[in-house]
Amino acid sequence: MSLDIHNVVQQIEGATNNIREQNKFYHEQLNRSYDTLLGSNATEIEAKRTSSNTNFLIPGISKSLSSKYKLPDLPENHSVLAVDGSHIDIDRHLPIQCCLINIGKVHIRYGDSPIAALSNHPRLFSEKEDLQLHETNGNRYQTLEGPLLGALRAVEEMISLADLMEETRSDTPTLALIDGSLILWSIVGQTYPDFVRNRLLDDMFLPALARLHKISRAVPLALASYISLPRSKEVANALRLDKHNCPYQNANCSIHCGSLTSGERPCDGFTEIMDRNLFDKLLEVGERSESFMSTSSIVERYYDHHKIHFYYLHVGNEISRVEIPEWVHSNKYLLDLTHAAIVNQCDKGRGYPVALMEAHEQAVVTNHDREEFRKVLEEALMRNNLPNYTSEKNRSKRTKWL
Amino acid sequence: MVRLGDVIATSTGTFTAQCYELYHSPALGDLVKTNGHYPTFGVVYNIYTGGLDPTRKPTARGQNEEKEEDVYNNNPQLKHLLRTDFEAIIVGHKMGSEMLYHLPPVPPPIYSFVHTCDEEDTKPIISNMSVLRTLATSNLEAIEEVISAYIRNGFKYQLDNTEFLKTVGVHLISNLPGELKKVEYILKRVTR
Repeated sequence: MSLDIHNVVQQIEGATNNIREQNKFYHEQLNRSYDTLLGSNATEIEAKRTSSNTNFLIPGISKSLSSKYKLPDLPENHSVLAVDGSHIDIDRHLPIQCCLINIGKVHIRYGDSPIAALSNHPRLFSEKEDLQLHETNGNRYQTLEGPLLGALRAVEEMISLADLMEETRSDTPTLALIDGSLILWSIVGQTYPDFVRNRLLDDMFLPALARLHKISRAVPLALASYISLPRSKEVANALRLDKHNCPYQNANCSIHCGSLTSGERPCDGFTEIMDRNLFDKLLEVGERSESFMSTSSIVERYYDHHKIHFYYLHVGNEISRVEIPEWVHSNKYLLDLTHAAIVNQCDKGRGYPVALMEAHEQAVVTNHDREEFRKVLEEALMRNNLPNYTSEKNRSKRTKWL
Repeated sequence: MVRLGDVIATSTGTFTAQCYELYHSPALGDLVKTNGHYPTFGVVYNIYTGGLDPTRKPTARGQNEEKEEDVYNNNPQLKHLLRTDFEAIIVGHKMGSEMLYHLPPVPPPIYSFVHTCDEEDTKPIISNMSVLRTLATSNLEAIEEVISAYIRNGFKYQLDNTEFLKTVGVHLISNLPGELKKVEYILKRVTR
């Protein structure tokens, strides 16, 4: 049976009415939070943050909350490297356990001698050893599937970006760009044992960052990650510490407000506001916000001198979030390069960085590709007289009958 | 001989090749040749440039550019995302050293290399009027333009162009009975 769309239409109409009500509430909150953004004392909030214990994430604030920066000049001769990944997860209905990571790589050089190189690199994981992440000095392991495979993909993207930079030997100002976050959120909050984080971060992700950092000492290389339509609320959370919203000198959410339900707390006035809503009001097209420092536990514990900073950027039709490591943040030339090159990339890509768009196109594994993958796998097993049994559930989905 | 591209679609009477470089296609009416067991000769009747991925259509980009080449210079990836293909109608093939003016037993395989034709190949084909019959009796779109271009290409191998045109005219009339207007159209375009 196909979806009963008439039934769904009625439900959507009902949902639309709710959204209209929520919108009114949202606009009230937005105006209040924006006034707070402009009026707050950033030094006071930062001091309060360091002495408080909140149950929401608040960024480190170096200067101000509402500073903004004009679009810097972009060197005419510059390069953009971008990497994106896609994967096929382990499917227990397939005859063998395997997964695949496909990495798309793009190098575009602009200016006097423009060139582009686009490629993709699929890697099959089918050996038992490949499908498990092992403890370095121990016998524990974790199977690579679901969110962990997603995390490995993010790690592989960063390794590929470092490889690409080494291969291209670009000596012009270069932006190395990755889609999503520089923070491996997918392993935060999961119940993975510590060795998983150690393997992914200490053994793989951070060494790749270090390779890029090393290159950046010799050539002007800026690393950044790009998040379209970000949902983060860190800056909005910082406003909750403002003295008008949090009456306590040193906030401790559990002690002071632990007995209150959501909506009753004095700082609950901005719950619907995301950072992008605030900066949409503050920034003109092409401008970036002040940079903030991530205080996520994974960054503080593992990232060392690669600590992640972020800023918001008005790229035309939306506010995006750009994340940069400490060594880019502390170098004004590199920081400006990320700003100028990303805005230029978004101009060329009609709202989204063109190099990332092409890296995605190189990496994407479509539904058709997934079906082909399955067929090739089954045919290879049959050709080699190996068992190619698939589950009855899978068979029943594929052979539709009455 | 210059290598132009690879055969990417093939059938009894025509083949399609993808150029190695964007816009580096032979011209309409040019004679091209494939490698393979039966080296096959074709006349280019269609040239197409579009997106490599059929689901991604090119869109206008030049509004803020001064020159057309700036669109490509400022978007270097475009050359990797667009492709030029050309289609050729098969007019003959070689069996050993013998040139035969009918269809090969099997069409050229996919990924056969496609080359331009040198003088040694072109001269006898241009002089053989049965090629005109193959072209004139095909149902391909704008075939009159293709024939005109093909004849024009033949001029450089003739000592006497007027005599060549007369021979061509006679064969066209005999291959397109009752279609004098069409013949006139073809011959007018040869000289203009």
